[in-house]
Amino acid sequence: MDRLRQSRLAFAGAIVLAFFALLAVFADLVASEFPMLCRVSGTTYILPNVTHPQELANFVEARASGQMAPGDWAFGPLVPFGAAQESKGDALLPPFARRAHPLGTDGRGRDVLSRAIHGTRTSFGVALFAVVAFLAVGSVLGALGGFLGGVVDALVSRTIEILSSFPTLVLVLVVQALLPHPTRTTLFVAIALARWPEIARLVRAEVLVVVSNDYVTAARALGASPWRVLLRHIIPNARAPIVVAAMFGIAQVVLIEASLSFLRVGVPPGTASWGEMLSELRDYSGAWWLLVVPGLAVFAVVSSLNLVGEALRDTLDPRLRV
Amino acid sequence: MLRFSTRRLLWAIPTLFGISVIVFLLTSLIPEPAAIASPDALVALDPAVYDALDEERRERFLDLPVFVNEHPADVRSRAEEAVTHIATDDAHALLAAHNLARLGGAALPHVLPKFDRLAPAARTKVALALAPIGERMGVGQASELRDPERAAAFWTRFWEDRSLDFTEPSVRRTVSRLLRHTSELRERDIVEIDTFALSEMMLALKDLHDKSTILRLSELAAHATGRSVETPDLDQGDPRQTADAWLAWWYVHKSDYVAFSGPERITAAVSETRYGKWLARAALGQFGVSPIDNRPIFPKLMAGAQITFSLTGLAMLASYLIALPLALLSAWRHNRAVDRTLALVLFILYSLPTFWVAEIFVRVMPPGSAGRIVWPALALTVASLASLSRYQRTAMLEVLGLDYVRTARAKGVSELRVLVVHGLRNAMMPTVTLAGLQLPVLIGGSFIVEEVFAVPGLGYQSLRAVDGHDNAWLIATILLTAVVSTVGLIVSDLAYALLDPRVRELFLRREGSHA
Repeated sequence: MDRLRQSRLAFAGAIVLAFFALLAVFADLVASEFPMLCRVSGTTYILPNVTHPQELANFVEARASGQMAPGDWAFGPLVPFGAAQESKGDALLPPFARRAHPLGTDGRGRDVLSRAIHGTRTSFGVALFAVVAFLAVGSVLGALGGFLGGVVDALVSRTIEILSSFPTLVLVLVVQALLPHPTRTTLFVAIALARWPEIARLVRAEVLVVVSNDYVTAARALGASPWRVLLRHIIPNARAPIVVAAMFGIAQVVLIEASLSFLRVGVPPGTASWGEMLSELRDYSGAWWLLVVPGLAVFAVVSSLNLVGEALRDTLDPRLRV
Repeated sequence: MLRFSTRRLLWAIPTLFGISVIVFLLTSLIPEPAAIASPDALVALDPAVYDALDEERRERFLDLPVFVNEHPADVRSRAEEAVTHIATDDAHALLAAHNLARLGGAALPHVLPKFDRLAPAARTKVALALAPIGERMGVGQASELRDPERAAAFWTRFWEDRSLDFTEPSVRRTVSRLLRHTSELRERDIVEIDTFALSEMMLALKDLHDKSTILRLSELAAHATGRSVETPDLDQGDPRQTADAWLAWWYVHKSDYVAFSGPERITAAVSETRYGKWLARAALGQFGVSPIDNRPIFPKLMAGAQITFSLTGLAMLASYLIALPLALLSAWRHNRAVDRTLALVLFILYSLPTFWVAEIFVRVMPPGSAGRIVWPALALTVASLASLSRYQRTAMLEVLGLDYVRTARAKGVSELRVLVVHGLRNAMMPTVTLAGLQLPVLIGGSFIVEEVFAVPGLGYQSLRAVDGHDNAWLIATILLTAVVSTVGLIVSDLAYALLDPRVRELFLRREGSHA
C-alpha cells in the first residue's frame, strides 16, 4: 500500500515536472510581448514571438498601448507580456487588480505571470547545465579514483575532501563577486565546481564496491583490458547512484540558483528568475504576491524533483534509502 | 583513541594546506593590473608614472613567481643586475639606473667593492648612476657627483672612508642611538647610510609606541625610499597606524633592501612567491583594510564570525533537540497516521527554500529584541531539521529491524526501552557524522537568513562587501568558513570514533581514504 501511494505521488511529481519543463522550453510561445500571429501593414507574420523580428518593435508598443493602426490585427500568446516588458504606470499591481495581469506586476511594472514562466527557463537552464557539468566531472574523477587506486585515488580523495569543506553558497557567491563580469555561464560553472566532489565521492564508493566483486577479478584474469572492464562491468553497475544523484542534484541547484539570485549575486540583474523576483520583496515588502508566486514555483519544482528522485532511488537501489 | 586522534589531526594538515591553495587560486580571479608594456620607454618618459604602475604590480606580488621561486631576488642580485646593464649600456641601462637609485645605500656594499674591477668607461657610467643616491645621502657636491671625470674617483674615496658604516653592527648601533635619543646629528648619520638602515628601522618600528620616534623614523624612511607618506598630526591619530603602514610596505619591498643569508635563500624559494606571501599574511590574520570603511578586516571578521557561528550553533542544537524526539515518535508509531503526517510535513519543509522560510518568519516575527536572535535561528533550524530527521528516522528504522532488537522485544523489554536504548543510540552515530557535513550547508543558510533579518554576521557583511567591491573581505570569509568546516568535520569524526570503536580500527588500519 505504501509503495503504491509513493508511486502515485512520484507520478504526480513527474507530471508537474513535465509541465514545468514544457513551460521552460516554450516560454516564449506562451508568454511574450510579441504576438503569435499578426498582420502589420499588409504583411502577415507567423510566430513572431519566437523569431522576434526587429521591425515589429513599434507595432508591439502600439498594441500594448491599444493604438494599433486600422487594418492591423494581432493574435496574442496566452500571456501577452514579456519578461522584461516594463510599464511604469502599472507597477506593483496586486493579482486580479487588472484583468490583464492575473498575478499582478512587480516594482517595475513587469507582469508576474510572464516572469514566472520565463523564470522556469532560467532555473532549468542553469540547473541542467550545472548538473551535466558536475556529473561528468564528478563521475569521471570518482571512477578514476576508485578504479585506479594508489596515488590517483589519494589525490582524488584529498581534492574531494578539500573542496567539500567550502560551503557551496559561499563559494559561488565569492566567485561571482570576484569576477569582473559574472554571467549565467560563470554561475553554472561555479556551481558545478562546488558540487562535483559530492558526486565523485558517491561514484568512487560505488566503484570500490563493484571492483571488489569477483566477476571483475574474473574479467581481469581472463585478460580483459582495464578499459573494457571499466566500460562493460563497472560503469553499468555504478549507474544507479549517478541517476539518483542527478535528480537530487537538479533540485539542489535550483535552490542554490534561486538563493543566489535572491541575494542578487546569481543571474545578471534583469534576467527573469524566481529568486530575483523574491529579492524585490526587500524593496517592496508589502507585495505579498511577489512572495507567494515565485516561492510556490520553486517549491513545486523542488518537491517534484525530490519525489521523483526518491522514487528512482527506491527502485534502483534500496540500499541508499534515507 | 589517542592514536586515532593524532592520526586524524595529522591527516587534516594537508587538507588545510589544500584549502589555502584553493582560496589562493580564487584570488587570481580578481583582475590584475596589466604588465607595463615598455618599461624602458616609460622610465625615460615619466619615471613617476613608471613607479606608480610598478608599485601597483608589486603590491599584488605580480613580479614574483606563483608557487616556486628558483632565483629569489635580493638587493645583491638586483644591484649586480643593474650594474651589468649600466656597464654594457644596453637598452635597459636607463631602467637599471633608475632601479639602482631606488635601491640606494643598501646596494652600495654590493656595488662599490667591485668598482675597481670594472673597465674605466663602465666605472664612470655606474658612478654617474649612483649620483642620485649621493645627493639623497647628502655626501659630496652635485658638481662632483655629476661630473664624469670625478664621479668614479669620488665613490672610490667614499668607500675607502665609509665602508665600515655599511656593516650590520655599525648600522645597528646607529639606529639604536637614534632610538635612545633623537637629534639632528644622529638623524644625519641615518641619512648618510640611506636605505641600508631601513632593515633596522623596520625592526624597531615593530615594537615602538612613542609617537615622536615613530614619526621621525617614518620621515627618515620616506626620505630614503622616496615614498610619500602623509604625516599625521602629533596630537591626533594612532602612531601605530603609521608604523603598521610602513611594516606593510616593508613586507612587499623587503627583498629590495636586504641580502639573503644562506638559510634565508633556501626558504625564499617558497616564501618569495605569490602563494608564499599571501599565505604568510593570511596565516597571521592580516587581510588588510576594508575599502568600505577603512577599518582592518580581521577584527570585523572575528566579530561577524561570532554572530554567524552562534546562529549556526543554535540552529544545529535546536535541530538535534527537535529531530531526535521526532524520529523516535516516527519509529514508535511507524506507518500510522502520526508517522505519515510527520513524513509529509518533513518532506514539505525539506523542499522549502531557506530564503522563503526566512521571509515569512521576518513578517511573522513580533517586534522586540529577543526575537532578533531567536527567529533567524528558527529559520535556519527548519532547513536542517528536515534532512536531519529524515536521516535519523531511516537509521532508527533500520536498527529496529535488526535481530537483536527482535530478541529484546521477545524477551519482554518495554517498547520505550527498546526505542531509547537500542534505537536511539544506534541512530545517533550516523547523524553525528551528518552534523559535520551539515556545517557548510548551515553556514550557507546563515548567509541568507542574516541578509533577510539584517543580522550583522559574516553573511550580511559579505553581501555588503560584494556591493562595495571589498575583495579582501570575501577571500578572508571563504578561508574562514572552509577552515571552520574542516574543524567541524574533524570534531564529528572524533566524536564518531569515540562512540564506535570499529571506526578507529578501520581508520588506523587503512590509514585514511575514509570515503
